[in-house]
Amino acid sequence: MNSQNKKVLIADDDSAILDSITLLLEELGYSVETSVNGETISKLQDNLPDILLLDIWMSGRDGRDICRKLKEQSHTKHIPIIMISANKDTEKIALQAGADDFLAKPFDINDLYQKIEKYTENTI
Amino acid sequence: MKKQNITNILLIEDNQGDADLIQEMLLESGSASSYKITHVTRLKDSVKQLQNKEKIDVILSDVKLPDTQGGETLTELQRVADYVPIIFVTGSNEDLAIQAIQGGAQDYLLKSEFDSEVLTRTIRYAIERKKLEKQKDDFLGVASHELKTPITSIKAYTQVLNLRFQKAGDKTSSDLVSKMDAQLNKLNNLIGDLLDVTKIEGGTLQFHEDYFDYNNLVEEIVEEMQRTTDKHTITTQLIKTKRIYGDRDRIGQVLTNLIVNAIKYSPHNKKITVKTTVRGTMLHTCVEDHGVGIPLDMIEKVFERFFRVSGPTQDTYPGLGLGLYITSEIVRRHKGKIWVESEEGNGSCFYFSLPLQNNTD
Repeated sequence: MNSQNKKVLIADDDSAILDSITLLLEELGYSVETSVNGETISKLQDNLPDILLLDIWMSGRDGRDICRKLKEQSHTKHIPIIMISANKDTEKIALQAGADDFLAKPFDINDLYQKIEKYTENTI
Repeated sequence: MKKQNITNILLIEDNQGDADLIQEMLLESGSASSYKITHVTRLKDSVKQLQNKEKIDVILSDVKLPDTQGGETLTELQRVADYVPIIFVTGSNEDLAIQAIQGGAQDYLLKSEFDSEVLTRTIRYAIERKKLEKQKDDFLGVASHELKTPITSIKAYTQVLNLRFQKAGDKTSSDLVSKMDAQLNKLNNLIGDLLDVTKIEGGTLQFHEDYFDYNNLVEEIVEEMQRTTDKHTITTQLIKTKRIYGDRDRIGQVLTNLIVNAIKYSPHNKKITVKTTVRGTMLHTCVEDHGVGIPLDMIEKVFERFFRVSGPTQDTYPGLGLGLYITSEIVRRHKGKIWVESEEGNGSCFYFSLPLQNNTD
């Protein structure tokens, strides 16, 4: 299984983080889309990603609520969600909100790659 | 009619006479606050009260209780009471009370020396003081979050560069970028230290414990630390160890802090060694350097918060002075001990112990 053609969606309110992580993931062979605004994430309809990296706090919007909503909707609940946060103590909270995994900022490239691969194993 | 503020007090006092006296004082006070007092006689009953939904505004506790005393009382209360100010009441043992202040209690009162006015003023002061402390900690929390944001993107950019240099076969540039990455990790750790100190103060330092391979962790940290210095060689002498139960990240932090110090305080000598031995049920780790060492009169102080050592030319070594304080807190919470053997001019050996699990493979 390689990373070709897997679609990653990143949501974070810092545009430099979106830009740099996009470059990083594209360098690793993923195709990437970004959202600086949590609103559009919770309204996802078609063109669904294979995995979502979701910041736990985005300018007034709680990533946990978005996570819960996505996991409740039948057309999005299969999408693996990795919650990201600058504070590593929020891991438990993230998992309680239904996230599949958690990553602390700043990420290590190997950790990021391993986790994405782990949750997209079955993607064709 | 003026609206009364109600201050919820948790009174932990096993001496009924003292408890009655305090309750009388609070009732007779003419202040604008009215007091609601919940009285318990043991620490464990107070823990139950604090875990209830009803909010406690201040804790008044005897320094000596049937099931605990002084510092232990404080640690336990801080663990369950989120930012509740604590005032200790003591008969005569002022030392215990002072220790409690150093540990984070807001104030103390000597039983023979206070009346209704002093008591109510002390309560108000403690509440205000705790509010200020919380504001400061909240600010540090926000600040460290903000600081981590640009570090995250810089780190990602350096890792992109590294990948591109590697693909292009440019090892020199790739190595340069790896060094940048190591410095970013250092910066990130400094910020993490700031945040950790506020958590220790606020009693909110959490651990995520699990079984892990200790030697594997040591090798990982040593490799990472080696990348930060060309001048030193870090080697390991590790006995074969069973799994350790604890917070892998935090124990890694302990090792990192000790090795960072070893590097920092041996500017002229290159050798640093990490050794492990078993003593009874404990695993001892030693981080040894051959650097400047620590003068005898400072050995006790090195684990104190904010303490920094001055160099031979009277300037201070860089750093926040938080590393060993946090390190000792982590080790203590893992039920281990930390200590140092050192001679000025001859280097130091920092030891810490961790409990070994008896029942694993």
